Amino acid sequence: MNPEPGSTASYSLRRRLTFAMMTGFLLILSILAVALWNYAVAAANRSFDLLLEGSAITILGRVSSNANGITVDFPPAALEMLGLAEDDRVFYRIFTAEGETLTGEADLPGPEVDITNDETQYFDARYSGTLVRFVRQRKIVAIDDQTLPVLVQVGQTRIARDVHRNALFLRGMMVLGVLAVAGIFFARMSINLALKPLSGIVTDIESRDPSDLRELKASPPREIASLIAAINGFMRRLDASKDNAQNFIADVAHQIRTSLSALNGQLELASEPGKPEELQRRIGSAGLQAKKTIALTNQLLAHAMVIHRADNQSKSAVDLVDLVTTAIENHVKQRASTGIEFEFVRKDALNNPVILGDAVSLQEALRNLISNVEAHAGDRPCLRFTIERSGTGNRVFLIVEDDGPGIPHGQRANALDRFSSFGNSLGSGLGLAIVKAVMDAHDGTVTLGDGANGGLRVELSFPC
Amino acid sequence: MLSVDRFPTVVFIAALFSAIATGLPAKAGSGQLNIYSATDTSAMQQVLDAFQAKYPEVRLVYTEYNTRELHEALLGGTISDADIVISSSVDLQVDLVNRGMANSIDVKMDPAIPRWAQWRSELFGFTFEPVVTVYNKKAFETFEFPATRSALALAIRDNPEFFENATGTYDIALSGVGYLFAAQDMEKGYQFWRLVESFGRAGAETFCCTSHVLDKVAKGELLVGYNVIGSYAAERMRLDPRLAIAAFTDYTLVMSRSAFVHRSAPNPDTAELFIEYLLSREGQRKITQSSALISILEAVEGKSERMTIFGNLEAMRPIKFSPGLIGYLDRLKRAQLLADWQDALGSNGME
Amino acid sequence: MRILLVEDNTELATMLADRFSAQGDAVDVEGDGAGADQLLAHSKFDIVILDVNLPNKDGYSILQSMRERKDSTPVLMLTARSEIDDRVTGLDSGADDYVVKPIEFRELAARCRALVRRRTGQAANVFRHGNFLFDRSAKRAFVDEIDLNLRNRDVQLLEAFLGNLDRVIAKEDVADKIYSFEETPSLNAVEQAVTRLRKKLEGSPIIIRTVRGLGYIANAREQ
Repeated sequence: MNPEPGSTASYSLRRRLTFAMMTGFLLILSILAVALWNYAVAAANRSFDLLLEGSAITILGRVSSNANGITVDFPPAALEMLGLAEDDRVFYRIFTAEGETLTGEADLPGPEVDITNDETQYFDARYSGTLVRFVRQRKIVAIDDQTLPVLVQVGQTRIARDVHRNALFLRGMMVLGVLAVAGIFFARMSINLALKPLSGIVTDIESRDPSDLRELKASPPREIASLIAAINGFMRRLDASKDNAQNFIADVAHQIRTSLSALNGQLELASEPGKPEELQRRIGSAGLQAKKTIALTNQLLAHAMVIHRADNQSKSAVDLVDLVTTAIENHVKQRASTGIEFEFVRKDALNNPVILGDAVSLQEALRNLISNVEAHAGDRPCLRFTIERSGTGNRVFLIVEDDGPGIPHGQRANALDRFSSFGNSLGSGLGLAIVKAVMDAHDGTVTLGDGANGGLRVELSFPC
Repeated sequence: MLSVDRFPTVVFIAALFSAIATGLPAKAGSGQLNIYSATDTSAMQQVLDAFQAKYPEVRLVYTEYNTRELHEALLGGTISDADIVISSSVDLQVDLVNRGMANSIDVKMDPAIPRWAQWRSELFGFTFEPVVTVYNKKAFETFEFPATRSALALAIRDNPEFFENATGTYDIALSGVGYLFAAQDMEKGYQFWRLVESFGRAGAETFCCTSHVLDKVAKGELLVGYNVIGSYAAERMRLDPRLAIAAFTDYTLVMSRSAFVHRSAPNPDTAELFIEYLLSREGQRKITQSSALISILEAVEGKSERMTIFGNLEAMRPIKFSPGLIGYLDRLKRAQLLADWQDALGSNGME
Repeated sequence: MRILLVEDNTELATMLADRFSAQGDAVDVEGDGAGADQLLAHSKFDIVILDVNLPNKDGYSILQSMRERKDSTPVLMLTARSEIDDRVTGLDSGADDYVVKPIEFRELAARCRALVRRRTGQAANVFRHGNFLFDRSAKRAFVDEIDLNLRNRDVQLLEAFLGNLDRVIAKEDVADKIYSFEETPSLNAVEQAVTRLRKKLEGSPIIIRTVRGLGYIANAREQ
C-alpha cells in the first residue's frame, strides 16, 4: 500500500527539516562568523594597541626640553615592551609638527599631522614590505616662551595580533561548530521523535485489508490531528462511495438483467408458432423491449459519463442562453417530428448569464429533461426554459417547466434517485438522477416543484 | 678585506660550470656562498673548514668587517651580494633584521637552542659567550679580586695609586660590541656608572678590541680589563697563566654571535644550509672543540669543561635578541650615552 | 447517396451497410483509419460516416486531413458516450454532425440525408425533400408538384430557413434577411410573414417552429 519509506517518496520530511535546519545554522553561523571575526579583529587590535600606546606613552614621557631645545632620552624599554609580541618588528619616529624628525625612522608613513588633534591615532600602513600597525601620540613641549607639539609614532608589524586574532576566531568558530553539530543532531533526534506517531499510522494502514475502511485508531499529536481527521473523513466518504458504487452496480445489473430477460421472453414468444398477426404483434413488442433496453443502456452510459466528467473535466465558461439554444436544436435535430413547443423566458435582460461548468454534462442534463417531457407529457407539450438571477446576484437559476402530469408530491423526494421511474414504461429511471449528478458536479442544486401550468417545474440553481 | 679561498681552482671552475648548467640560484650545497662577518676569522676558521669539507661544491667567500662598519655597509648598500651576515653585535643584527633585511628560514632547529638566542626565525645565535673582566694574576696575589662591580668601584676608590692608569675597557664609540655591553650594563643599574666614574678617576684606557686589552693585562701594563669577551679571554688564559678571569656575581652578561640569511641572498638555499650546519650538533661541537668560541647548546661535548673557567653560572644574564636592543641604537640615545660615557670617563680616558 | 462508412466494429458496419443498401444507397465500408484516409484521397463520396476510434488513424486525424485537402464532403462522426468530447459536440473538428452510439439506424439515416440535403440545398438550385421541392432560380416551391404560389417575401423567408435548418434563428436575424434597409421591419410583420409561410407549407415536411423568447427553428420532417 505504501512504498518503502524514503525510497520512492518525492521528498523526505526528515531530510527537508534537516536541510532547513542546516541552512538556518549555516546562515546563523556565517552571521556569527562575521561578528566573531570583527570581534577577534577588535579584541586583538585592542590588546596590542594598548601595548603600542603604552610604548608611545613611555617614549613621550622621555621627551622634554632644555636650553638647547627638545631633548629625547629614548627609553629602550618602550621597544622591549613591544618585544612581548615576539616575532614582530618595531619602528618608531619622534618628530615635530613641521615634520622634522628628531630621531627614529624618518620615512615612516602616516596621515597629515593635525595639530589640533590630541587624541591617540591608530592606523595601518604599509612599511618595510609589510602591513604595520601604527599609533601616533602628541605632546606639547614648552621651549622658552613658546610651546611646540612633538609627536611620537610607534609601529609594529601585525604578526602577533594576526595570530591572536586567528586564535580568537578559530576558538570561537570551534565552539560554534560544536554547537551547530549538536544542534543538528538534536534537531534530527527531535524530528525522529516527532515523526514517530506517523510511522504508527503507516503500520496501521499497511496492515489493513483493502476493504477495511474503519477509522484509524491512532491517537495523533495535536499537530497532525487534522491530518488524521481528514484521512478518517476520507475513509468514511470512500466507504460511502464504495457502498454507492456497489449499490449502483447491483441496480444496473438488476435493471439490465430484467430488461434482457424481458426481451428474451418476447423473442421466445415470437418464435412460437402462431397466426401471422399474432407474430407481428409479438415481434413488435420484442422490438419495443429492445428499444427500452437500448434506451436504458444509453442512460446508464450517460450517467457514467456525467459522473466521470465530474471528476476529470476542467470547467470553462458556459453561456446559459447558448446552452438552452443548443439543447433545443439538438432535440429538434434528433426528433424531427417532436411535438414539443419550446418557450424561452429571460428574467434578466442584461448580459447572458455565464457560469463555470462543463458544457457536455450540462447538455446531457438538459437532454434528459427534454426527453422526460417528450416521454411523460401529452401530445403537444409546452416546455418553458426560464433564466433568472437570484436577488443577491450570486446564483443563477435555469428553470425548466412543462405542462405534463408532473410528479406527485409524495414521490418527489425519491424522484432524483436512480431507477425511481414510475408511470411511462419507456423511462429508464435515470434521467433525473443524471440531472442531479450534473448539478452536484457544478455545486448546484435541483429542486422539483409545480409548474405554472400544472406540470413539473425543475429548478437548476448554479452558483456564479 | 680578506678572502678565504682554500679550494683548488679546478673544483672552483667545476662548481661554476654546474652553477651555469643548473641556472641561478645554485641548488643547495653548491655555488658561491658570500659570508660577511664581524667576527675574527681565526675564531670561525675551523667551522668554515668543516662546512667546506661537508659540502665540497660550495665556494665560500668570507669577508671580515668591523661590527659598525658591517652594519653601515649593509644599510648603505655597499654590500649587495651577501648570503650570510654574521656579527657579534647582536643589537646591530637585530636592527638589520628589524628593517626587514633578513630572510625567514625554516631550519631543523635543535630545541635546546635557547629562545633568547633567536628572533623571528631569521636571526640565530650560535655561540654562548660570557662577558667578563680579566686581571693580572700576579698583581692580585695579595688581595682577592672584587666579586662585584660595586666592590671593584670601591676598591678603585680606596686604592687610587694601585689602579692609577691600570684599568682598561672597550672604546664604546669605536666598538659596536663595547657599546652593546655598556648599554646592557647601564640598563642593569647605577653600579655601572659608579664603575665608569672610578675608571675615569683612575685614568682608564680604552681599546678597540678584546685582544688588545688581553695583551696589556697579560704583560702587566694594565691590571684590570673590564667587559672583555669571555671566550677569547678563556682561550688566552689557557695559553697564558699570567691572566685571570673574573665573572662578577652581581651579574655576568652573556652575548651570542648571530647570523642571518640576507633577504637578497644570491644563493639562499646554500645559505640556509650553512645556518643549519652552524646550529647543528655537528657544527656546534666543531665550534666548541676547535675554536675559542663556545657552543650555544648546553649539552655539546666539551662545553661544560670550557665553562668551568667562568665559575658562577647562576649570575649569567644573556642578552636577549629582541627589538628592545634597537632602543640603544637610537641616534639621540647613543649620542647621550656616549656623552655621558665621556663625561664619566674624563678626557684622559681617550687615547 | 454514395456513403463511406469508416467503422472497425464489423458487426455494426455490416448491419449499417445492409440497412443503407436496402434503402438503395451505395456503401463502402472501411475498418482501418489509414485505409480510409487513402480511400478519401482518391474517391468522392456524398457523405462520410466516421468512427472516432479507429486503428492506425483516428477519426479526428482523418477529418483533419480531409479538410486540409479542401475536401468539404459532409462528415458525420460516430462516438461512444464515454468518448463524447467538446471536439464533437462543438463540431470544432470540422465535422458536420455527430451521432452517439449505440446507434438507432433510422436516426442515423435521417441525419445523413439531412446533411446531404443541406449541402446540396446550399449548392444546388433545387432543394428537394420528400414531396417538397424548392427551385431557387425560379423562386417557386412545390408540394406534391403543386405550386405553393410563394410571394417574393415568402421565398426570401423560405431561403433563410432552408439555409439554417435545425438552427435557432432570432427574430431579428430573420427580419434582417427579408427586409432591406429602407423598409422598417417590425417584429410583428416578421411573425405575420412566418405564419403565412407556415400555412403555405402545410402538408410539406418542412416545419417552422416558434421558440418563444428565442426565435424560430425550421427542420425537415422525415416521412
